[in-house]
Amino acid sequence: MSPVIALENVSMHFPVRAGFFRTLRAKAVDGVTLEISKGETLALVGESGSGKTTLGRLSLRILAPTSGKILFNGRDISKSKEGELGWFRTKAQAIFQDPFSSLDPFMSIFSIVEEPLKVHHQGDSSERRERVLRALREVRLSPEEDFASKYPHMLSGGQRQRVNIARALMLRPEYVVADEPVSMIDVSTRMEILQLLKELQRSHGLTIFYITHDIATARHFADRVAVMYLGRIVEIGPSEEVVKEPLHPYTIALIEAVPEPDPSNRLRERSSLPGEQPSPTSIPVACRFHPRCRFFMPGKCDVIDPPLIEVKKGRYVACHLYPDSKAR
Amino acid sequence: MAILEVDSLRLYYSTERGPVRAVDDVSFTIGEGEALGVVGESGCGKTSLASALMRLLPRNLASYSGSVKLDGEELMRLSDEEFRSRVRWKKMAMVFQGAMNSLNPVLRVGFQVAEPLIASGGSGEEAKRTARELLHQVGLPPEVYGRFPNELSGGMKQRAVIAMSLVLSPALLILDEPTSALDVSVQAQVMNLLKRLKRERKISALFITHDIALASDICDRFAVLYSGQIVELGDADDILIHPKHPYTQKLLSSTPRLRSESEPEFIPGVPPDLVNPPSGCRFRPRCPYAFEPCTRDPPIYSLSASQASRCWLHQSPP
Amino acid sequence: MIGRGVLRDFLKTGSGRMGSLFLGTLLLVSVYVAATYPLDFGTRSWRNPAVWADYPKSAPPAWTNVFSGSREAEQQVLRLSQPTQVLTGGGSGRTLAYEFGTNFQSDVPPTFMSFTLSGVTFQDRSPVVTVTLLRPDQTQVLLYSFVVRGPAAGERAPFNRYYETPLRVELSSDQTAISSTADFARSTLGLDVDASALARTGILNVLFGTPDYQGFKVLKGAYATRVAVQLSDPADQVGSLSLVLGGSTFGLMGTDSLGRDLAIGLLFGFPVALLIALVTSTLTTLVGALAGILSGYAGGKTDTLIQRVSDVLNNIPLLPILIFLAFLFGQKLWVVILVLIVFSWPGLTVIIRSMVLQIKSEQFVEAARVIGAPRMQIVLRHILPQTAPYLLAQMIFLAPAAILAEAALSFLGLGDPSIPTWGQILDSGFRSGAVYVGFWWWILPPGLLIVFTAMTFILISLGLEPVVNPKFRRTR
Ligand SMILES: Nc1ncnc2c1ncn2[C@@H]1O[C@H](COP(=O)(O)OP(=O)(O)OP(=O)(O)O)[C@@H](O)[C@H]1O
Ligand SMILES: Nc1ncnc2c1ncn2[C@@H]1O[C@H](COP(=O)(O)OP(=O)(O)O)[C@@H](O)[C@H]1O
Ligand code: SF4
Ligand code: SF4
Ligand SMILES: [Mg+2]
Ligand SMILES: [Mg+2]
Repeated sequence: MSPVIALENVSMHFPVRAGFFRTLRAKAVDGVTLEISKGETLALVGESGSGKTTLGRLSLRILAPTSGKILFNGRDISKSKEGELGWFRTKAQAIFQDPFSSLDPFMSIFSIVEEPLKVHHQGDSSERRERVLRALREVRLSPEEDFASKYPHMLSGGQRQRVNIARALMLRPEYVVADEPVSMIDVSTRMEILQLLKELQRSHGLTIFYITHDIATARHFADRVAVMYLGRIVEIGPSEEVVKEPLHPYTIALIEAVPEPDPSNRLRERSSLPGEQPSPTSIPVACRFHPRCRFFMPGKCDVIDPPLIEVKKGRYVACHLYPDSKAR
Repeated sequence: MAILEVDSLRLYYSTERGPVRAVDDVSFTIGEGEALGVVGESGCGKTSLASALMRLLPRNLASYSGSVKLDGEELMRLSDEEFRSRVRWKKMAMVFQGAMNSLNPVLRVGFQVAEPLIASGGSGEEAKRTARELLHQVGLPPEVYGRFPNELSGGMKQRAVIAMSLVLSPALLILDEPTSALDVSVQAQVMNLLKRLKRERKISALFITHDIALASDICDRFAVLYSGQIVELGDADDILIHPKHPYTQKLLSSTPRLRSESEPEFIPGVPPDLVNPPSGCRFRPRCPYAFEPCTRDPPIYSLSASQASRCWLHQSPP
Repeated sequence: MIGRGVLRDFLKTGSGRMGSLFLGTLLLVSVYVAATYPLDFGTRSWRNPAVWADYPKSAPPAWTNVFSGSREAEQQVLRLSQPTQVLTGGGSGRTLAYEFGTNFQSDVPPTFMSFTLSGVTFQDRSPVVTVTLLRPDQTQVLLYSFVVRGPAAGERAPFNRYYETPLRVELSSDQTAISSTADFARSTLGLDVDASALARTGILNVLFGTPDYQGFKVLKGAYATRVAVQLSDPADQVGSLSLVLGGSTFGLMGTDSLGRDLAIGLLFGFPVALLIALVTSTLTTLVGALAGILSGYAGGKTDTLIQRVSDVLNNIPLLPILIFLAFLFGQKLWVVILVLIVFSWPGLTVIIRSMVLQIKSEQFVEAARVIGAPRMQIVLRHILPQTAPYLLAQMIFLAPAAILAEAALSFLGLGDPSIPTWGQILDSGFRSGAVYVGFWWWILPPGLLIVFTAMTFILISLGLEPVVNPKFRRTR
C-alpha cells in the first residue's frame, strides 16, 4: 500500500545564537525516514525535546526541512512555497497539545470551527452553519447550538480538545497530526478523547500521526510505534510488540520508567535512565544514546553510528545489539 | 502517632456567582513518616486544600474554618504572624504546582535555596553550607549553586525547588504535582529522590496529583478527592487493589496500563461546578451505580480500620 | 455582540460613567465652538491687540463682586449711530450732538474711558469734534476736542475718514484730557493739582469723584458724555460713535493683562485640546501598532530595522528637537503633534511587538497556518484582536499625555501662536507674573481645564480596564 505521508531522510537544523558571534545548530530532527500508510495510526514517542513536535510540523509543512524529502501521496512538497500548498492545507490538519492556547480566545466556537471553510471558500453561510453543527455533533458537543455560541474559556479542557478535533476534520482531511492531544487533560478523560478520535478515524478514513510522550496511551491507540531519541528514530514496530518486547535499550528504559498503580511500587526504586537527554546542539557521536545506555559497548557504540535496520518482520531498530537480519 | 490531624476543614472562595466550595468538610490524618496521596481530577480542590493547610489564602476568601493540628498543636488558633514565623516553611513546607517555573530568573539557584534560612535569621555562612549540602542530597552537582535557573533543565529545577522546601527541615512536606511537567524518565528520577528523602529524613508528606499511578510510587495512604470532598480514604492496598467507591474504581480503570491487557476506560461527563454541586452524592451524574438513595448526601462508611468511603452502596441491607 | 456587552459593562463602572459624562461635555462645548468661532480666531482675534483695546486689563470675573463686598465698576459699552440732537446754526453748518448717559453707581471709578468714532465724510471744511463730560453735580468738563484731518495734497472731495480704522481715543490717558481735568480740578473743585501728578494717579477718580479727606470718593449719579461734531456742509456725514467705560471686573472669566476675554480664549481651547488628543493618540496608536505587528510578525530584517529606529527615537531628547523644528518650520501646532507622534510610537511598538511574538507562538496561530489561512488574514483575524483591548486602552491613555505634552511645550513658549491653547494661556499668565500679583482667574481655569480633560480620559481608561482585560473577563 502506498503511504499517505513519507519522510525521506528529513532533517531540521535550527540555528541557535550562542553568545555574540557563535551560532550553533540545534539538530532537532536529524535524518528521519518514516512512512504512514492510509488509515494507519503511527505513534511517535520520546522525551520532550527529542524532536517530536518538530517532526510533526515538518510533515505538515509548517516548517521547511533543511534537507530531505517530504512526500504526500507521492507528491514532493518539501520545497513548495506556501502559495503552492493550498491543496495540501485542505488534506492535512493538526490537533494541538494545549487546549488553552489552541483556540483563539476572542472567537466563538462556531467561528473557530467555521474558519477552515471560510479560508478555503467552501459553501455558503447556511451550508457552512450546517456543516459546523454536524461536526460539533460528531465530536459529541451537544446540544451543538449551545456550544456553537460559547467562547473557549467557558469550556473544560476535554471539551476544548473536541473543538480542536472538530476544526481539524472540517475540511475532510486525509492526514491528521495529533501532537500530544491528551497530555494536558485529566487522566480520567484521556481515553474518551482518544476513543472518539479512533471512531472518527474509521468513519473518515484518516491517517493519524499521534505524537506523545506517554507510551501507555500509544499502545492502546496506535497501530505502530516509532520511538524518537535526540532527533532520530531508534525503533519502529507494531505497538503491541514494541511494548511487550522492546528492543532498543532506550525503549526498554522508557517502558520501565512508566509506573502502574501498584501498592508495591513504593517499596522499591523505580528504574530510570541515568542522566538527562543531551541538548540537540551537542549530540553525542556515533550512537547518540551511548552515554546513557546500560549495554554500551566501548569501541563500537561510540565509533559507529548504528543505522535503522529491519531486525524482524516489520521491526526496525538502530542499535549495535541487533545484527542486520538481511546481512546474516 | 499522627503528625497532622485535619478535621472538618473548609475553604470557600467568593465569586460573583456565589461561593466556590473548593475544600468542603475535609478530615484526614497523616502519620509520622507517612505519605498521604491526594488524588482527583483537575479542579476538585487539591491545590486549595494545600493552600488551606499552609494558610496561603487568596483575597477573595469567603470562609475558612475547621481544625488543623500539627504535632498536636492547633494551628487554626495561631495568629497570622505566629503561623508565618513558627509554622510555615519551618514545620510545614510546600513545593508548589509549577514551582520550577516560578524560580526567580535573576537570582542564583544557591541563593534561592538558602534564602528561607537567611530570612529566618540563620547566618549567611551556615545557610550557604546547608544549601550546598541539600543540593548535593537532591543529586545536583556543586556547580549548580552558582547557576541561574534558565541554565538548568526542568528536572534540575525541580530538584532545586525540592531542596528549597527542605532547607528548614520541616516535619511535613506538601508536594503539589511536583513532577507533572517532567518526562517519564526524569519523573522517575525525581520520584526516586523523594522516596530516598522520605526514607532517610523520615519526612511525612502530602502528595498531590491527578495521576494515581504516579502517586502509588510513594504514597502509603490515599485520600480520593471529588468536588472538594474526600470520597474515599484508605491504605495503598485498599485503594489500589480493593477500591470501594465508584469514583475511585473509575479513576483506576481509566489509567492506561502498559503491563496488563485491560483496555482503559474513561469517566464520562465533566467534574461538577463547585459553586452549584449536584444535590445528594456529588458523583451521581457520572456514577454508573447511581440509585434512588443517592439524591441524599451519602454518609462516610468505615469499611475497615483503614478504609472509609462516602457512598450509599455500602449501606448494609436493612 | 461583544461590542454591546462591553459598552454595558463599561457604563456599569463608576469611572466609566463619569468619564463618559465628562467627555460628552467636552464634545458638546467643542462642537459649539467649532460652529461659532472663525477658523483663524487665533490670528484674527486672540493675537490682535486692536480687538481687545476696549477691554479692561487684568480684570477679575464679574461674579467676584459677590465676594468683594464693594460694588465694582461694570464694563459699559455705549454706542450711538444717530445723533441725539441736531443743532443747526446759521448757514449750511450744523452740529450733531451725541449724548451717552449712564447712571453710575459703583464704588470705584471706571478703569478707563475711551471713545471711538468711525466713518466721517466731509466735502470742504474739516469737522470739529468735542467731548464733554456732564457730572451729576451739574459741573462739566471739556475733555477733548480735535479737528478731523483735512484734505491731503491731490485728494478730492468727498473726503472719507475713519472708515477703515475707526478713530479711537483713550480719554483716560490722553494728554489733552488730563490737562482739561487738571483745570477742572483747580477751577471747579478747588484743588491744587497739576497735570503731571494727575497723569500718574489717573484722571478717572477726579472725573467720577468728589474730593474727600483722603483723596477722592466716587460721585454716584447720572453722568452724560456729550460728543459734538460740527459739520459745515449738508452732505457731510458721521457714521457711529461709541463710548466705553472700563469695568473693574469683566465677564465670566475675567481678562488678561492685554484685556483679552479669557472666557473666549478658554472656550477656543476645548476643540483644540480634543483635536490634539484625538489626532495624536489615534495616529500614534496606528503607527505604533502597525510597526509593532509588522516587526513582530514579519521578523528578520524588517524587525531589526524597526527596532533600531525606535531605539534611536527613544533615546533622542524631545526638547532640543522641538526647538530645532520650531526654528525650521516656525511654531506650528502640526509640528508639535507630529513630534509627539514620532516620539511616542516607539514605546507602543516595543510592547505590541512582544505581544505579537507571544501571540504568534500560541497554538491557535499555528492552527490557522495549518488550515492554510493567508498571512494577512492571520494578522487581522487572530493577532490584531488580541492586541485590540490593549491598543484601545493605550489610545485613551495617550490622549491626556498628548494634552499635557502640548501644554508643557506651550508653557515653554513652543506653542503655536496662531492657535491659542490652555497651555499658552497658562504660559502667558506665568510670563506676566500673574501668580505673584494674584491674578488667579488667569492661571487656575486653564490649569483646571487641562486637568479636567486629562481626568476625563483617565476615567474612561479606568472604566475600560476591567472590561477589556481578558484576565478579568475570564473570571466572570
Ligand atoms: N482564588 C480563587 N477564587 C475562586 N475560585 C478559585 C480560586 N482558586 C481556585 N478556585 C477554584 O477552586 C476549584 C479548585 O481549585 P484547585 O486549584 O484547588 O484545583 P486542583 O484540584 O488543584 O486542580 P489542578 O489539578 O488543575 O491543579 C477550581 O474550580 C478553581 O477554579
Ligand atoms: N524554532 C526553533 N528554534 C530553535 N530550536 C528549536 C526550535 N523548535 C524546536 N527547537 C529545538 O528542537 C528540539 C526538539 O524540539 P521539539 O520538536 O519541540 O521536541 P518535542 O516535541 O519532542 O518535545 C528542542 O531542543 C527544541 O528546543
Ligand atoms: S548502539 Fe550501543 S550504546 Fe547505542 S543503544 Fe545500542 S547498545 Fe546502547
Ligand atoms: S452514592 Fe450513589 S451516586 Fe454516589 S458514588 Fe455511591 S452509588 Fe454512585
Ligand atoms: Mg512537543
Ligand atoms: Mg492544582
